[in-house]
Amino acid sequence: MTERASAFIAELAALRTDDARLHAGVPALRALYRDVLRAAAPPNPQYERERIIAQAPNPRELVFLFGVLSEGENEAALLLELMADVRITEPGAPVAHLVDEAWYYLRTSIDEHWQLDDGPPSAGGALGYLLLVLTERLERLRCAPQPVAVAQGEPDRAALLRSLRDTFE
Amino acid sequence: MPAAFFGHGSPANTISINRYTRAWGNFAATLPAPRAILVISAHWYVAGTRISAAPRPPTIHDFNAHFPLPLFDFAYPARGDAELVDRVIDLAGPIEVERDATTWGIDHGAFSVLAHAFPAADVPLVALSIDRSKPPAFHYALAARLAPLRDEGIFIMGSGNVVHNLELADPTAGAPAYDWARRFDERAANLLAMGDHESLVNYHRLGPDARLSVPTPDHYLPLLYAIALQRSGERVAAIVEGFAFRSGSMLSVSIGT
Repeated sequence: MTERASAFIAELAALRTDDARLHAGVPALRALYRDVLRAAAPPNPQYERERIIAQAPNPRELVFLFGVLSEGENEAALLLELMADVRITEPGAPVAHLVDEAWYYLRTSIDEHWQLDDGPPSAGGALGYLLLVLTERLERLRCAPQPVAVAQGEPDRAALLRSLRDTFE
Repeated sequence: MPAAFFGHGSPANTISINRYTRAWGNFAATLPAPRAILVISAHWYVAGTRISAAPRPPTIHDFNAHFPLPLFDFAYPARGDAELVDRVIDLAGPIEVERDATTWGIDHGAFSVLAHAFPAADVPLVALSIDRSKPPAFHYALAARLAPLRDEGIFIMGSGNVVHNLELADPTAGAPAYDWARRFDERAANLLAMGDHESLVNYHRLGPDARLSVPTPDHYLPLLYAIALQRSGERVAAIVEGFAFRSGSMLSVSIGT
């Protein structure tokens, strides 16, 4: 785990509620999208590059387009963003269905046969997982700026997702 | 005017003739001529409740390149209906419904059924999105607000699949439905017959079969848009039943026929 990822996880784990984690974690995720774009996008157009990245209306979808998020990870990230938005605009609104859906997408992005789970879905765990894998891929991109083939050559992701759920219990 | 839920299955049904597509067409032939159609498709699943407001909503080919080329040439050229758009917005209040004339149109959840049910595309058509940020009870309540449309000649149709697990889909020809899929499909059909809407809305409490059958809500929620329109004394009738790819229920039902 990279230093930046460790710091993210520790920061999130220190928070007591999912709302607090979403409040802190989703902006961190959004900042990471732009860092990934800076690392993944080709150098041209040289002078417009930073403006385009900074002003991109939906950087997550561009990260997905570059192949740095898988389809399931992209869906899970979208749902976490949605959860954060719902909790801001409608405090107390139900979000359990969104946690369920995000957790399903993460599970099946790792293994499509991982259908029934051995524990409850975790918003914090999902957030931590995405922060972690994106941070790792960002480091790889910075070392070798080329499209990242997600979920190839990465260590046991199922164990990671489960352990992050335990972290945020 | 009756209402219906269609299990739409593969986009390829658009250009196929099979027992499902024949059943959709035969059912539609029994309906009084609708003034317009309001469709709620599993594939317009976004943050927010939106309604198609283009004068002629575009056909959206929302599937990957593995499908046959003629599917990408298919168009469903129905015109929109500004009056129905206004009426839906009015009935839904205080739930906010946003007019959308640019981002979406008639997707395969809608046109794969409409191509057989209303092949002439001469009935005005409006699509309503499913707000993915909301829980099932919200969708049931929103649909119930739209019930007066049935008295105004509007045919309301949900299009999804009661059982829809793409990750476990198996294209082996002739392979039977998974046991859990068949069990949940039968349970849903029984709940529909009993009019037990509360259990259908709270499907996530129906155990592991439900979790496997409805892993994400998108294809199930259109069913709630149909059953919320059921009136006291009205029955739910099967239009057609069956399975595709072992994990996709093709159950279609009508309400008020």
